[in-house]
Amino acid sequence: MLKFIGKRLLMMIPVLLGVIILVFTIMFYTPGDPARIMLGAGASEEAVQQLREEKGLNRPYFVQLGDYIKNIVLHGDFGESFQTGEPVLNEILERFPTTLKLASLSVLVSLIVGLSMGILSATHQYSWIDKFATAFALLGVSMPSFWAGLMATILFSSILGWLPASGSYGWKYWILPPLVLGLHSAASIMRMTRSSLLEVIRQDYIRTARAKGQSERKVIVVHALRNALIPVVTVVGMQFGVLLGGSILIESVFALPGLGRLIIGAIGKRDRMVVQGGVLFLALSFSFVNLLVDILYAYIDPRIMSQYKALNKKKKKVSKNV
Amino acid sequence: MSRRKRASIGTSSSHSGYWANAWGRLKKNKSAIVSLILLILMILVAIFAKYVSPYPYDLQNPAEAYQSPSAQHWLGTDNFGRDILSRIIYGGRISLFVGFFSIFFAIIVGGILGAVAGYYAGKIDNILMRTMDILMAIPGLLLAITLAAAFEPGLRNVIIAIGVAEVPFYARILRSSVLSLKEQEFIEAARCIGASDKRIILKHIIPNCLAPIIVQSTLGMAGAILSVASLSFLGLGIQPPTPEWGSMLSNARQHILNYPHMVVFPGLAIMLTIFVLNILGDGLRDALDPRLKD
Repeated sequence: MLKFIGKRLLMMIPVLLGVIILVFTIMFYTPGDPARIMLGAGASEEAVQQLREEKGLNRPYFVQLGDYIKNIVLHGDFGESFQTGEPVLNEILERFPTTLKLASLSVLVSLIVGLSMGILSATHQYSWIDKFATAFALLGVSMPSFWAGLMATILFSSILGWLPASGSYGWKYWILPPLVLGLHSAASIMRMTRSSLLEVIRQDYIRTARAKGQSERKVIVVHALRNALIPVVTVVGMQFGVLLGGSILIESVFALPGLGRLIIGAIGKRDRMVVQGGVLFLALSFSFVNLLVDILYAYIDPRIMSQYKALNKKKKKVSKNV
Repeated sequence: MSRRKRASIGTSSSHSGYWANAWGRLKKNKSAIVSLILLILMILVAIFAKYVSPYPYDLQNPAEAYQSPSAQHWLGTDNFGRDILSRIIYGGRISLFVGFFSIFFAIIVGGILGAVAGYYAGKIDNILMRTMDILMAIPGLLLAITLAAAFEPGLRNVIIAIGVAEVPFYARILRSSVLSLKEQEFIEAARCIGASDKRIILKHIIPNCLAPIIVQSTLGMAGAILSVASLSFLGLGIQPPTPEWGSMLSNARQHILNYPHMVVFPGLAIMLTIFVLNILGDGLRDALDPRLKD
């Protein structure tokens, strides 16, 4: 198992390097001169030139890229904001907890709603519960989360007056955003749970379990779900990426001070370093979650580990023969 | 499971009755057909927006600002007194256009990369697919936001920003189809009689991977339409005064407390379009790959 995790970690390194290079390159070729932005439109050409020199902005692309990667890898340094001069990492770390909280609560909502609806509709296939859940899933997938957020604000804040519309000052502010963001993912999880459970329920070992007189509840919970949930884990991992993207929109709708709003604000101010750092940080956390999902996957599905071991044995044999 | 799926696509589509059979199966799926008709209607309305919309989309009338839905203005008016229904109709043009062309872009680029990777295998395959891994390591909307921020705003750049994020999906489909197809006998036969690589890829391999591409692109279009609305909502997509559903919502948001009708309808338009595409995509999947249906 450790070997598997180690190998998976090693595989992550080139992808992460690639992500850094890609994001750096996109932002490097963004129109707008950072030195000019820092000093404002009124600054003299000489002053701009001097600042460029000072910050190393006139060095060739590869030198700047190498520097950027080196600073991130060795010192965890994402550069300095063009606007405030603050280290980008500080701003990111200040905002990240909000985004993480929003994403985690949304995953929780989507798991509770998605799993329970998926299980109910699979065990009651073609009943009204199933039809309702399927319709819910289709609507949930089709509804833009930011619009759902706006509609929820109209209903719960402006008509009913139960919950605050925007900001982050207490637990009441943290009900609508995760619900709205989580419901979208709940739909995907529900669909996957349903189809996966339906497939498992038809297998022989379930018939055996029923034949030996086990209660239906036990058959589903103990026997069927364990296998049915394996593909669901992958969907949850993928949905986390969707949630991170969606959190940018939801943070904007509910005015939550998260990483997404930092990025959007920095785009407006043409603060390249902050955009770059923020996007990278989100992409890195997404990769990290995917790594966790992969490990979890290997842990809950022994077939993956045995496949991996068999593959290794084969490789060793081949290399011995050569 | 995936191997069986690929094999069934490879063999069943190679005889000509396949598309007729698939159409027959799709016709039996009522909700998919209703969605198809609705989608065609939407496309027609978008094309003939000039004749269908009751008012010009940019006609401002301060005296009629903030009106609730009425007989004159079916969906009400916005803060400039512009007719919301007309703006939604014109906005559909942008959404469908961007949705279609960003997926078209992704199919062309991803398709070529995937086909090349699968056909030549080895080093090229490795380099191309690792690049796709990198693209997929960034959540789609985030990548589109980054690209949209880097480019100047505008229709063409929005299409590219959204399309790039979709490229890896098509590259993967094409690659896996090609990998399984190229071992089959009819490809070997074509090679024996001296067909060139280009001819084999274009005439023999691509027609055989169409089914999964069609399904993915229908669902992908739904995603692309959601992305363009999201980008515009954040102010990074289509810029006002061009009517676009996402930017209409972004504008309406400022008046949400007093004039909620401005928020309701553009969102409903987005939802209906995505809903229709999703149902059609599901229907197409069942029709084109009957084995998957439960």
